[in-house]
This record gives sequence, structure tokens and C-alpha cells, in this order.
Amino acid sequence: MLSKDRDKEQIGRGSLLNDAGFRAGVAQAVVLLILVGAVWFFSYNVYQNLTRAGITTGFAFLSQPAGFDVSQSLIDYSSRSTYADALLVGILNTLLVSAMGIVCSTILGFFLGVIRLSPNWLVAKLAAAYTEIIRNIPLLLQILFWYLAILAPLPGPRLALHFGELVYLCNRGLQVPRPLFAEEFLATAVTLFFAVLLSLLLIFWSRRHQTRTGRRFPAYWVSLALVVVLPLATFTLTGSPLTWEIPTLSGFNFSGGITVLPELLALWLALTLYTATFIGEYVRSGIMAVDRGQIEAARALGHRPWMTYRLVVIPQAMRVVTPPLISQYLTLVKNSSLAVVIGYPDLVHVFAGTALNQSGQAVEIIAITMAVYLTISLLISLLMNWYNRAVAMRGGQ
Amino acid sequence: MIREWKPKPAQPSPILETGFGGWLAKNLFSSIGNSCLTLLGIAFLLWALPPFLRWAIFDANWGGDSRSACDAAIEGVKTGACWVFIKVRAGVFLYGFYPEPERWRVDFIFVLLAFALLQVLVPTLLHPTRRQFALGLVAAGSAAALFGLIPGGVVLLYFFLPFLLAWLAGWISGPAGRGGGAELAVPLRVALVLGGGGVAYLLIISFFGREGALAIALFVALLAGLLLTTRRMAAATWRWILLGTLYPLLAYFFLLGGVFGLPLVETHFWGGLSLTLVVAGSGMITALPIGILLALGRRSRLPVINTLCVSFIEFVRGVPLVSVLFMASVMFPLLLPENVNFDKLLRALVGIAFFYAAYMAEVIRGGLQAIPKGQYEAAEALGWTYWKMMGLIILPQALRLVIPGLANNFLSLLKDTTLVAVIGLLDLLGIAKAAMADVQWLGFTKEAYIFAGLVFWIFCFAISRYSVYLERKYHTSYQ
Repeated sequence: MLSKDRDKEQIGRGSLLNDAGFRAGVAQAVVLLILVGAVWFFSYNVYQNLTRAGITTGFAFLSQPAGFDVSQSLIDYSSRSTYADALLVGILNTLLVSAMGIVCSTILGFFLGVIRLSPNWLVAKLAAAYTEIIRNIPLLLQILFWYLAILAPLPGPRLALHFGELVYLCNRGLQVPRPLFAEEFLATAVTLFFAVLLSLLLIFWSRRHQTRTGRRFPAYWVSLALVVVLPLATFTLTGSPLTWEIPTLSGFNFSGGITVLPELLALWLALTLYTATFIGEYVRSGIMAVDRGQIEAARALGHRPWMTYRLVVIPQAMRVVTPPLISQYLTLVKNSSLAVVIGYPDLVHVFAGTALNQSGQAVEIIAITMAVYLTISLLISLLMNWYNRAVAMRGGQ
Repeated sequence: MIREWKPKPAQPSPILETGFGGWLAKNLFSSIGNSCLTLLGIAFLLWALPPFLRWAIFDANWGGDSRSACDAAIEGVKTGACWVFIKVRAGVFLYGFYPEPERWRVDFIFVLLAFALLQVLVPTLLHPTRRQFALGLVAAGSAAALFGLIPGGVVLLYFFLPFLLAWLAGWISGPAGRGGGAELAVPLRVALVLGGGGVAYLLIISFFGREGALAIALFVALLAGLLLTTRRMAAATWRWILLGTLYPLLAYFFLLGGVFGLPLVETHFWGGLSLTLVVAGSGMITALPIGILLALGRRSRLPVINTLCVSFIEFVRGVPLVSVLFMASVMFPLLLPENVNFDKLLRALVGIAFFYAAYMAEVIRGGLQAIPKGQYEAAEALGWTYWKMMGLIILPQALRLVIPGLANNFLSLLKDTTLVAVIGLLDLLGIAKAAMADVQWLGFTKEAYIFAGLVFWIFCFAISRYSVYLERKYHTSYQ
């Protein structure tokens, strides 16, 4: 009896050290302890350093006047505006260049991916050469190249390159005409809205009509006509309420029109050209992932090449393309922060750069900046995951 | 009468099916649309290529050694690029502001790297032991000829250490590969490593003085640690291990100096291509192990570790590298006590390592998930511990699966080293920008960027080709 108990005891003692659950618990406790210790150590140091520098922590500084100017802002902003306004200006500028980059790089990327698979040897090789050259050169170098080597040496406003006296390109940026909407333009906008709504309904109806009766109705052509003709008619009937403010040279600079800053132009070009190579590769791999039998079957059913592409290849390719496309968009948004090196007033430049130097609130500003990027990333991935669910394979295998 | 059947002679194949004409018809002019595309392509090439080639090569100015050579050429006929700028500034582009008499150290470290990489990256070329011996001798000989006897000796040691270690590890672990260092308890091993290093440190200090003691102690501790944690392994494996451990140690002491009579060169003198390679290399070496740990943590069933790893990875992947570098340069000093100050380069390296570790972790997680469950279960059924299972069964298979993903990450890491220019380090791009600002050489922006771009392109293209080669190599081994 006694010896048996002792055996049990020994096994019990031995097994506590070898017990997976116990060891896991100890390991986690140690990690947690180290983490808490590190956090305490760092916050203590931050507190000490900030008190020594005489900086009060907290977010009160956001409502104080910022006292610096920003070269481009989509909202009203002056040096008397608050830090919160500066933050908003930065966020909007980041979103602006990201949206421009996403739209253009998607178009160029799909184009590249498709022509890389073209049976035309020359065009396919050209696309391949473009892809291999551009994606193996750092984006930052490309941004600087466009900004300092191409846009900066352009002639001044007086000798600006011009395209039909409407668009001017000089070292101050790109000058384009600004549309001026009169009040009557509202009617055109409303008509356009209803025309789009109507054509969407028409397409929806024609689909149901086709599944019910098998007869096709040329919904796309009719809706195109609707969207073009109706607003145009309203536009002329209300007396063409749209004028253009054309940039003109006055003195040493242009007045009127919209000025696209060279920083924005360089960043936009570089982001578009660079990201398009990656998107092109995803599109290519997506199209190549569609089984050849699918295309052959569609051709055997008598679909024309274009219908084969639209009904068979693209829907299946999109399933493969969408997930990497999402992460590429996220990368583009994050890459737009490289704006800081050429001085485009994006979130990092305005807020984590100028505002940080002005206010000295390093901890809060870095935290806000990162939180904004995290939010944008999260929103884009939510949106695109929703789209991904829509195109993903439904049902079983 | 017998009529002999004679086959008609074969007709020549249609002209549009064979030869150059056939190739043209099939690949360039198969339809009207295709012909239009081809013509468009040709027009584009004619529009873009000749002016660029004229600017970059034919009308470019290659000779001379000062600004006046370029100006004279522009006055005359040669209106193209002026590569003299690159030629004159080559030293700065390669070494930054590293003092000129010490630049041989940078050369030495990269020559050693070239030989070491040749050895591990192209194992099929140099498989037999004899050829490896020959390579070691060639490397040591050329190092001795280029840099002197002592560097030659270092190279000789570096190249013959794998053989020595393989023999020693085999000897320690006994003929059956059992027993030996790896069987000892972990605390004992740690104590032996620390003790070995400490004893070496004290011995050097008492006999030779403080100089170089730390380097030698680290070296001894490294060797002891390697021998005590690993078992019988082939010399080829030892080469990889030395490249990841001993080489960085050597490079660190050689580049920084301050030991063995090498003058100290502080990191703010470093720059140019060598700094780019230092940042990229140390980023790769540190990010991969951290990434492996994070991936294991993310797959772990322990809630605390899992949560920590998931939140770290997701946080880092949601923010741009620029903001991480800003944090490293602005917030890091705030996190530390007043008198503690980290080197700017080190801060950037830490930022890059942890940033890329998160990305590598996601790639590796993909590989871990692709390993069949039976592999885990078999290892567990054999009673193997977690680390043994991961190290010997799961990770070797998982890492092999994710080679393309890892190579992609290495590639973007190499490209993203340019971002250290944001916090004021002068890597190749930063130095190019600084060289342009030189009042003597204003207006050579295009040349500087095209040169820097070409250098980056060569490295990135080499990495991507190598990853394709590896992928093929390991793919065939699975068939």
C-alpha cells in the first residue's frame, strides 16, 4: 500500500513538470509577465522623458491652431486651422492619391495582364519587358526619378508645354481647366442619376426576361443611349449651364483652372506604373488558372471569343485574382506614405512630419497616424472581402 | 506486268507555316487586329528606343574626370548623358563616407560574402569535397593577394571551419549520432555557452588586454552554442549555419572596427551601396527567424501567445514601413531611459526586421497550414517534443513549400531598404540624392537615378531568377 502511494506520488511529481498543460501555463505566464514588465518599463521611460522635456500628454493639442501652411488641401485650411484640421487634410490627400492610383493601376494592370497573354509575340514581350523592368526597381527611386529628373527640369510657366491651349505642363505642375457649374446644372445631374437608375432597372428586367422567355433584349445598348441622350437633352434644354475656367498665363504663373501639384503627379505616376506591374501579374496568373477545357467547352458551344471571355474566363479568373488584388490595393495605400520624401502633403508628411515637429507630441501623433492607416486597411479589406464573397465559388466543389 | 508504285515527291511545306515567314505569320500577323498591334508595337519601339539609346550610349560622354569634360561635350556634339559624374563619384556611391584608407575592409567583407554565397547557393556546381577545398583555397589566396595575409587567414578559417565543425560534431555525438551536446539539459547547455564565452573573455583580458576580447569571446560562445545545440550534420549544412551566424559577426567587427587594430568607423560614415547591402542582409537574416517564431506563435494553441502574435502581425501589416521607421527614429529614444542611446542605423534595422518578420510570418503560416495533419500526428505519436517536431519534421517541409513567397519578401525588403533615406541614412538612393546636391555637379539627376536603378534592378532580378531556379529544383525533388 505504502509503496504504491509513494509510486503514485513520484509519478505525480514527475508528471507535473512534464505535464503539457502545466508547462503551457507557465510559459504563458512568463510571456505575460515579460510583456507587462516591458510595457511598464517603456511607459515609465516615456513619462520621465516627456516630463523632462515639458510636454503635456493627451489629445488636447488637436484643437490648438497648427500654425503651418499646407500646399494642397481639399478642405478650407489656413495656418490658423487646428491640428485636427491638418490631420483631416492629410487623410484626404492620402485618400486622394490612393484612389487615383488604385483606379489607374487597375486599368493599366488588367491591360498588361491581358496583353502579356496575347498571341502577338511582340506585344507580349513588350509587356513582359515593362513588367520585369519596373517591378524590380524600388518605388521610392521611381517617385524621386519622376519628381526630380522628369518634372523638376520642365520649363517654367512661360515656356510651359501645352496641349491645345487648354492643358499646360510646367515645373509648377499640371494646369487643367476647372469646370464651373451654374445652378441649372442640378437638373442635368438629377437626370443623369435617374437615367442610370432606369438603365440598371432595365438591365435587371432584361435578365429576368431572358431567363423566362429565352429572348434577348438589347438592354446594354438601350441603357447606354438612355444614359447619354437624356442628360444631354436636359443639358441643352437648360441652356448649357457649364463653363470651363481655362488656365491662362498672367505674370509668372498661371491663374484659373486647377493646378495638379508636381508632387501629386510624380507620386500618382510612380504608384500607378509600379503597382500595375503587380496587378498585371495577378491577372495573368488568374487567366492562366482557368482550365483550358473551360474555354474549349465554351467554343464548342458556339460562343464567340469575346463572349467566352466575358461569360467563362473572366468570372473564373476573378476568383483567383481578387484576394491578391485586395492586398495590392492595401499595399498601394501604404506605399502612398512615400509621399513624405517629395513633400506631397499626405498624412505622414503633414501630420507625422510637420505637425509632430511643431507640437512635439510624438507618442500621440504616431499613434493617431498608425490608427488611421489601420482603419483604412481594415475598411478596404472589409469592402474587398465582401466583393470576394460575391465572386467566390458558390456551393460545393 | 508489275507496276511499281512510286510515291509522289513531298511538296514543300506552305511558306506561311515554316521558317521565319511562318513564325512572322503566326506570331505577329495572324489577323488584322494582331497586325495592327504589331505595327503599334513597332511604332512605339521606334519612338522610344532610339532617342533613349542615343542619350544613354551613343551621344553619352564616357571620358574625362571632371565637370568641365561634360560641359565641353555638351557644347560640342555629345548631347547625351554624362556618365563621368558616376565615374567620379563611384567611391561615394559604393562606400558612402567610409574613410578611404579603410575601404578595403568593405571590399573584403563583400568578397568573402561573394565566395560564401557561391558556395551555398550553387551547391551542385561545387558538390564534391575536393572542389569545396579548392574554392576555399582560391578564396583565401585571392583574399591574401588583395588584402594581405591576415584577411587571407580569416578567409581560410571561414572556409575550413565547416569541415572542422562537421568532424567535431560527429565526434562529440559519437558513432551512432547519439549522445553528445544536443542530449544535455538546456540549462546546462546555456551555462556551458555563457561559461565558455566568459572564460575566453577573461583569459584574453588577462593575457592580451581588453582589445578584441569581446569579439573573441563572442566567437567562442558562438562555436560552443553551435556544437552544443546541433548534432551530426553535413558540412553543407554547417556552411549555411556559419553564413547566418559567423559571417554577420565577422562583418560587424570588420565594418565597425575598433578591435584588432582596425580603426573605429562609426555607422554615420557608412553609406552607399555597401549600406544598402548591410541593411538588406541583416534584415533578411533577422526577419526570417523572428518570422518563423511569429508564425509558430500564430498557430499555437496557447491563448496568450496566439493573441500576442496575431495582434502584432495584423498591426504591423496594417501600417506603412515609413511610419514604422518614423516610430523607430522618433519614438524609440522616448521609450528608453535618458542616458541610453541607440545607434540610428540599429534603430532602423530593428524597425525593418520586425516589420518584415510580420510579412514572413504570414508566408510561413501558409506553408505550415499546407503540411498534412498526419505529419504532426506522427511526430506527436513518436513522443517528440514540440521544438523537435517543428525543427526536424514540419519546418523543413513548410519552408521548402514557401520559397517563392519568401523570395518575394526578400525582394521587397531589398527594395524597401531605400526607405531608410527617409530617416536620414545615406543608402545608395540617399547618397545619389546627396551627390546630386553637390554644387559642382548640378543637373545630373537622370544619370544618378538611372545608375542607382540599374544597380537595384540587377540585384532584384538576380534574386527573382534565383527563386525560380530554387522552385524548379525543389519541385522536381517532390515528383
